[in-house]
Amino acid sequence: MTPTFDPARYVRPDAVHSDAYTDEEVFRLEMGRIFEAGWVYVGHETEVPEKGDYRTTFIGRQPVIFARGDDGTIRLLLNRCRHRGATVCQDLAGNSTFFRCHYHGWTYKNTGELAGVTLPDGYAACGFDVKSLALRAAPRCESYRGFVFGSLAPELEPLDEYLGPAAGYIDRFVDSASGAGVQVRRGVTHRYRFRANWKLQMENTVDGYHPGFTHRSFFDMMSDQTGKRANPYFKRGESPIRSKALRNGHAALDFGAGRSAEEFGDTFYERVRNAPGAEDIFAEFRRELGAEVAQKELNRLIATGLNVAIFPNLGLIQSQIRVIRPIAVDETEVALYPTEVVGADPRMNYLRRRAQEVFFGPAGMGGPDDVEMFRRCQVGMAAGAVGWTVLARGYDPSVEESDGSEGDFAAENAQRAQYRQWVRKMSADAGAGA
Amino acid sequence: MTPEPTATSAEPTSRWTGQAARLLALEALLLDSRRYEEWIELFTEDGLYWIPLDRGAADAGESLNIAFEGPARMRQRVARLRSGIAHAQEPPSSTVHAYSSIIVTEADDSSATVESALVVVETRFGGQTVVAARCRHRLVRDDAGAVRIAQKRVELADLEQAQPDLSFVP
Ligand code: FES
Ligand SMILES: [Fe+2]
Repeated sequence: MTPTFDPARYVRPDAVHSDAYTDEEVFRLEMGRIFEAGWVYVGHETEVPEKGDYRTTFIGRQPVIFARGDDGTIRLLLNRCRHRGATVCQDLAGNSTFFRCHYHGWTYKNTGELAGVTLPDGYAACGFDVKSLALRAAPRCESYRGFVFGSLAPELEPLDEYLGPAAGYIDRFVDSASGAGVQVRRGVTHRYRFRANWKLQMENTVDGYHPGFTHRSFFDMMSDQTGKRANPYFKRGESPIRSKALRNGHAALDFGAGRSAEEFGDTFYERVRNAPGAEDIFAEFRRELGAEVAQKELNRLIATGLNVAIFPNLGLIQSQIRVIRPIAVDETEVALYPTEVVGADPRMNYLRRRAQEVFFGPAGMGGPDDVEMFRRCQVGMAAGAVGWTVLARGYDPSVEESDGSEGDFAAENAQRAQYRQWVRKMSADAGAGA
Repeated sequence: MTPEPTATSAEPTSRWTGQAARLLALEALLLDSRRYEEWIELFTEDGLYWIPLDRGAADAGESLNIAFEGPARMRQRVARLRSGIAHAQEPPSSTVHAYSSIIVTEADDSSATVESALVVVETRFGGQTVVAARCRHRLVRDDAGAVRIAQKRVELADLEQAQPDLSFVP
């Protein structure tokens, strides 16, 4: 660690230096100070509903088993045998009573406890209690409305406090469809990897400035399909979207009530129309509810009108949970988990999956264009001689911007708030994340 | 599914073998030369193009997919790719699709199931991506004798892992 690391060298109130995206030393400190010493999102409780259920994942660079033990408690067990370090769980997801290390045969319960050591006599003289070598659990694991967060650092504010006003947006995401909540089905996830810095995806999750340009081809497609203007969301003077900073680096693009205005072409109803089986489902709903109600209901239930970014690695977009995993300074993996509405008509969850497929995923008609922009940013920022990027939309230097700031759809106040949090975390006491 | 053709199906199977190989070769040619409109014409009007995420999934609709669509959506996809502003494909990838190990596993006079190995090498800005997959084509023959694709299912070899950009998929 560089004892003189100064985050202010990388962030101004209205700009970020490109070294923050390209410097390997910055990345190493980010892993230590942000991802491995603060709250990060790990998974949703509904992915591990039964005792013994698990999914493997990472907190920062560290391999973790997100597991529900036989005692019903969810833990984040570091996936590392206490003997000589081998991973004890190789599968992406599953159900198991034990995690067995196949190097020398040590076996752990799904609560982490060491159940047995092979050839135990050999440890008789060594003077320590082998039994104390349980799988190490992340010292903090808390959840909010099913969203499980972990921290590898013990000293930290409670999760509720960390989320602050952003919790209200999680509530909206969970409740908007039916009030019965959302669930994630384990194991089926859009997952893509790209050669660019993780913060580009973090910024993008709440970037209302880019869709009108990056995703123009998608909106044109929806216009062609419907014969209507695609939408007013990304037009100056017409957009109902507000860009909201929410304390601790969280932020939201709030579409208000306007996301499903039927006079425009890009509704969720229209997005899924060309998916196999969709027209049949529409026809059934029209019969059951009447044409007008059916269309409104479908638009409301297929996806929420909300983009939320919880610092540093969680996004809630439409009906998906987006999780960012930094791999290297110029490499990132992103997972998109589709959510289902608990107790909803199965046809509705069918359409929610179709709405995610049309835009997102490695071959979607929207997501790859974002990824292409991240790639271009990473290549472009190698022009280090330029130095500073610009994050100044809606910024007024005569006013100190608060963490509750609000702006129009294209304001960059959300990103400025993310970088204020970045500076706070990266300024952590010398020693953290060494 | 039996890999070995049974005695009763031997005759239709041998008739399909050559046709299937020609159709897959044509598909590869059309895709690699970006003749996407002609490629879509290979599908039946109720045809399905399916790239699952759930290995072994029997029902595409019950799971999440990388692609799950019929000709209507495929035409939109191609129109978007041609728009000049589908940025992930500006400039476009160049691809080589190679089908091999083609085998007819089920056949009667009007339809057949064809299994194959697919390796796609995609290149853009000098980087090369290899996409390996098992494919299953469901082929049908109409009354006039023309062969069409009723379903194309592409199961990526590494579908549990993060995927590279697949925006070149038409
Ligand atoms: S490393 Fe696990 S038992 Fe030896
Ligand atoms: Fe986007």
